[in-house]
Amino acid sequence: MNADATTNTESIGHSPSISRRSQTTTSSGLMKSEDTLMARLRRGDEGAFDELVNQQHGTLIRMAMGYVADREVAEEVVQDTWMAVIGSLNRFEGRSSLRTWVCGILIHKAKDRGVREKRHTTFSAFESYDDDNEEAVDPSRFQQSGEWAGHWAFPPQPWDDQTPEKLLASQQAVNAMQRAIEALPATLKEVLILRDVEGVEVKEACEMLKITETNLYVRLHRARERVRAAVETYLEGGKKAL
Amino acid sequence: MKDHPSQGIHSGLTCRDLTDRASEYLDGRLPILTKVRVGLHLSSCAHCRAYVKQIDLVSSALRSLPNLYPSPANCLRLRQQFAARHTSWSASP
Repeated sequence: MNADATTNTESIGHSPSISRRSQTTTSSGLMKSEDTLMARLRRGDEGAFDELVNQQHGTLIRMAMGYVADREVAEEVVQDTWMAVIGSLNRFEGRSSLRTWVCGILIHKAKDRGVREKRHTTFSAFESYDDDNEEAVDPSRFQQSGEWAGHWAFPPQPWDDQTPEKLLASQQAVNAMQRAIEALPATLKEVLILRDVEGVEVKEACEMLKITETNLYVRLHRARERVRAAVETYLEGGKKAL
Repeated sequence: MKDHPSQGIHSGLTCRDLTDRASEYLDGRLPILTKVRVGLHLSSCAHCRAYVKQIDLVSSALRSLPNLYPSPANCLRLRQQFAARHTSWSASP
């Protein structure tokens, strides 16, 4: 839970924390904890390799799911990625973080697999997403004309007693979020997963995806809004059912 | 551009403008002047406060989604590959 940011949305004048997770970066570009992990990997420490896999497997699976049809194929892509990592770990020079390097390999493999699959199948996740003019929030929720054009016509109802913990305690709410994430186009999904699900820093996420910070925030906010709207529908449905 | 009818302070932002910048605001990425304008708008618009709070709540909840781990069989296979590969790195001149 990002308590700082929550508080700051209510208390004007404080700056929300820029970084939700902070790590020290060494001169080589590696995070300090990664530096230690890398040293162990170079010594052939199998425990270090397990740690690396367990730390990054979730990110890689969720990222791969943006490009391929199902979890089974995503698992194969991730397995291929790890094999490539093992094959070239001794040549890794640390110019980017280990996570950026591994994710770069995954993205390349997942895109390649996705393109091959696309020749045989069609589904929404393969659709490219390049509508820069699309607004995050449904425009019909705002007044369209008159003195107050651009202000809420159908505002969000406050989620008075909701907290992230309460939301996550509801399997239905979690399912609604998971479904909303799964339905995102790949370009929105990868940003949301890196930044929000995995907590990757903005600069690192931009490096991984080769996009600008402005572009990242446009995509990130559209993705967050779609998940918010899914939760809103779920909560509104619950109220109507009462 | 005016703020909401119910308020006296004008930030120059509409609710629609604000919703577009909500994530940058939450992540502390807005330029100082824009941040002040967003703050002014939020101070007098309960709807936008609710919206920003919801985006923050969803973003925080996403951070706590359950982690995914590889199957034990895949883990074992990868560990064996790693061990074999490391042996060949060590053996090479």
